[in-house]
Amino acid sequence: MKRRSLLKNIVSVSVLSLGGVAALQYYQQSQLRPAKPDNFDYLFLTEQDRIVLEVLIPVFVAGLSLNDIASINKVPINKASINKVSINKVTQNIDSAIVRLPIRTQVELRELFELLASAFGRLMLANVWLNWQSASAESVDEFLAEWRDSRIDLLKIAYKGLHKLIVGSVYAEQAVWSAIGYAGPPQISLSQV
Amino acid sequence: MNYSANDFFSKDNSQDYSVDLPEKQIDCDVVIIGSGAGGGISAEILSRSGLKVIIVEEGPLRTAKDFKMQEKIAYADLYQEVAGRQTLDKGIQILQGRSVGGSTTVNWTSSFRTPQQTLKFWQSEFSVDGFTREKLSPWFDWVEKRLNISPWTIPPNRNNQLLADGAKKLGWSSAVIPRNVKGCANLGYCGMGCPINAKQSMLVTTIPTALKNGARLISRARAESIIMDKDQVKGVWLSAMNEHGQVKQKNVTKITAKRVLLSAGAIGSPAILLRSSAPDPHKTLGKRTFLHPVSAIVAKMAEKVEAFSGAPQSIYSDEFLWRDGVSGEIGYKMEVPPMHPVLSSSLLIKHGQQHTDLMKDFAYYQANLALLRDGFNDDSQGGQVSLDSEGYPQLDYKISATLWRGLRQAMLSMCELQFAAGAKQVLPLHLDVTLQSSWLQAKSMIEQLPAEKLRWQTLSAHVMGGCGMGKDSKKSVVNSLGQHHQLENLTVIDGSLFPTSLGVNPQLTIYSIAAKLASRMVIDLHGQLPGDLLEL
Repeated sequence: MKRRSLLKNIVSVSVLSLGGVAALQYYQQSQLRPAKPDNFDYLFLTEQDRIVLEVLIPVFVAGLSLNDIASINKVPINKASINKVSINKVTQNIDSAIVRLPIRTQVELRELFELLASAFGRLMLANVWLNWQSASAESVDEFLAEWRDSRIDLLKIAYKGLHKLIVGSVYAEQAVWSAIGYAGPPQISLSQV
Repeated sequence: MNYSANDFFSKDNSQDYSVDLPEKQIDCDVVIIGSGAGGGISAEILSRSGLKVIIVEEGPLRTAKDFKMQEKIAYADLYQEVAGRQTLDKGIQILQGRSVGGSTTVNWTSSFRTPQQTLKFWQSEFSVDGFTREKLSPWFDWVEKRLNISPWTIPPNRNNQLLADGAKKLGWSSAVIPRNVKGCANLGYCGMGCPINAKQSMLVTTIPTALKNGARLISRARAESIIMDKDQVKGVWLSAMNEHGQVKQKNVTKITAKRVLLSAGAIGSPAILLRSSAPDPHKTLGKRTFLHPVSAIVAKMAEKVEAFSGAPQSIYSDEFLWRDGVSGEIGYKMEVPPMHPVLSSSLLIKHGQQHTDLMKDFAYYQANLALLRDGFNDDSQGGQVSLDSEGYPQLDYKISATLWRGLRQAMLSMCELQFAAGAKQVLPLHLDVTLQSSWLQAKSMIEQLPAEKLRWQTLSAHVMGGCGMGKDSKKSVVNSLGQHHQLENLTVIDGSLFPTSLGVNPQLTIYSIAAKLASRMVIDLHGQLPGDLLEL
C-alpha cells in the first residue's frame, strides 16, 4: 500500500505540472476504445492492461519492420490484421510470463498497470490533451525516456519492468529473428547425434 | 546418444503434484529437498547405499524431449521467476534454475575445482574442517569421473575465442574450461536444457540412478516447513504447486524421515528454515548470501560472432581473480555468456529505434562477463534472505563501495580486452552509456559511469551462502558436516553451505562437497556405502 500511494503521489505531481486540475478532470471523463479482440484466456492482463500495452509495444520496438511483426503466427499481411495479430501474440507472451512470477511481483505489476490505465497514467503517457490511444509515438517515446532516466527509483523500476516484459516477449518470436541475423536453433534429428 | 535417461521417469517412481493426487503421509530414511547439484549427488549416494530416499522438487520434471532450444519455453519452465529473479531493490538480476536437476539442467557446464585460496580462507576465518585441497581431492576425482568432466577439446566458438585472443594480445592468462558433457554436439543451448542429454546434469545422471535404486521423486511440491519436536527434526510438510509454479494447496503431504536434507539452494534452503521458525540464536540464518556479482559488456566485431552457437563457455581468464590478494580489492574471473534474442534484447535497456538499431547487429556481438569474488573482504558481507508476506523468499543484497570499485575495474579490463581482440565498438551494460569506438574514449566513459543500482546493470548466476558452515555457531548455521548447530537430524548440502563465494562457477564444488557429506551421512545412518565411495 505504501508503494502504491508513493507511485500515485509522484504521478499526481507530474500531472499537475503538465496540465493542472482541469486536465485531470478531463481525463477522468474520457473513454477508451476496447482492446483488440483476442480469444486467448488471459490470466493476469485485463482489457485495460492490454489497451496500455497496445500503445507501448510498438513504441518499445519501433523500427522493427511491420513485416517482421506481422509475420508472427504467419498471418497474411494486410493492414487490418498486422497490428492485431502481432500485438496480441506479444501480450499473450507477457501474460504467460507474469502468471509465473511470485505473487508479490504480480501485485507490483498490477499496481503499475492500474496506474498506466488510470486517468493519471493516460495523461502521463500522452502528455497531450487527447485520448492517449491517439497519442503520437513520439510523445510516448519521450515519456518512456523520462521514466528511464528519472532520478526516482520507482519510475526506473517501472520502466525496466515494462522493458523486460515487452522487449523479451517480442524477441521470443521466431518471426523477428531474421531481422537480427539469428537463424534460430539448429535443426537436430535423432539420427545425427 | 543416450536417450534412455528419459525412460527412468515413470508413474511408479515420479509424481507431479500439479496433477497427481498427493499421499497424506510418506515415511522414508532421508527426504531430500531440492534436486540440483547438492540434492542430486546426495540422492544417488544415499539410495545406492540402500537407504529409502524421497526427492522433493519445487519445479516441474522436464526432460530432453521438452527442451526445444527456445528461450520462451525454457525460461518459463526451467528458471526461477522466468529467468527474471531479482534482489529486493531490483538492483541485481539472478539466473537460477527451477526444475528437476535444479540449475544443473540449465547451467553452461563450466566445472572448476574450488580454488586453494578459498578453501584456506574458510579454514582460517570460519574454522571449516576437512575441506583442504588434499582431503577434497578424492571427491573431486570421483565426481569428475562420474560426470565426465574434462577440459573442452573442440575449438572454442568465436565468442570464447575472442576472449582468448584479447587476453593473449595483452599478455593476460587464459585457459580452457573443463565441462561436464558426454557426446556434446556443440549446439550452444545448454541454458535451455540439453536436447540430446549430452550435458551430464543431475537430470540425466544421479537422479535416474537414484530412482533405479528405489528413490522416489515428487516434483512441483514445495517443502513448506520442517517438522520439529523440540530440537529433533522429524520430517517435512509439502505443499502442492500448480502448473504455473504457484502454491495450489498447502501442507498436503507429511513426510516423516530419519533425516531431512536441505538442498534447495542458497535462497531456498534458508527460506525453508525461516518458514519453519527454526532456532537461530545468533542471527546467522540467511545471512552472508553471496552472488558473484557480474558486470557485462558487449562489443561489435567486424565479422559475425554468432554468440548463440557453440559451447557457451569454453575459455576463462583468471588474470585478475586474486589481483590484490585474497581479501584486498575484489578480484574477478572473466568468462563469456552465450547470447540469445530474449535475454540479449532485455539487457539492452533502451527503447524504440535506438533499441532496434542495437539489435540489428546482434550476430556481430561478442560479450564478456566478469564475476566478482564477494565475501572475502570486510566491506563485502553479502546479502540477507528473508520472507515476504506470502512466505516466499526475497534477497536483500546491497552493493558495497568495494564491490562498486570491483565492478568498475572489471568493466575496464573486459573493455580493454575487447578492443585488443579487434572490437569496432563497445557497449558496457549500464543505462548511461553510448557506443564507444576507441579504448581511450571507452575508458574515460567507464571511469565516469555512476556507481548506482538500477543504472549499473548487475547480474548473478551463482547464489551461495546463507546456511554457512563452520565450527563457531556465532558465525555459521551448520557444522562442517552440514549438520545444523541447534537441530538434530537436519543436514544442509548445497551451495548455501559456503562461508564466502568461491571465485569459480560453483557446480563442481557443490557436487564434491555433496559426495563427501552424503557419504558421511550414509555411515551415520548405518547404510552400506558402495565400494567406489567407501575407499575415498
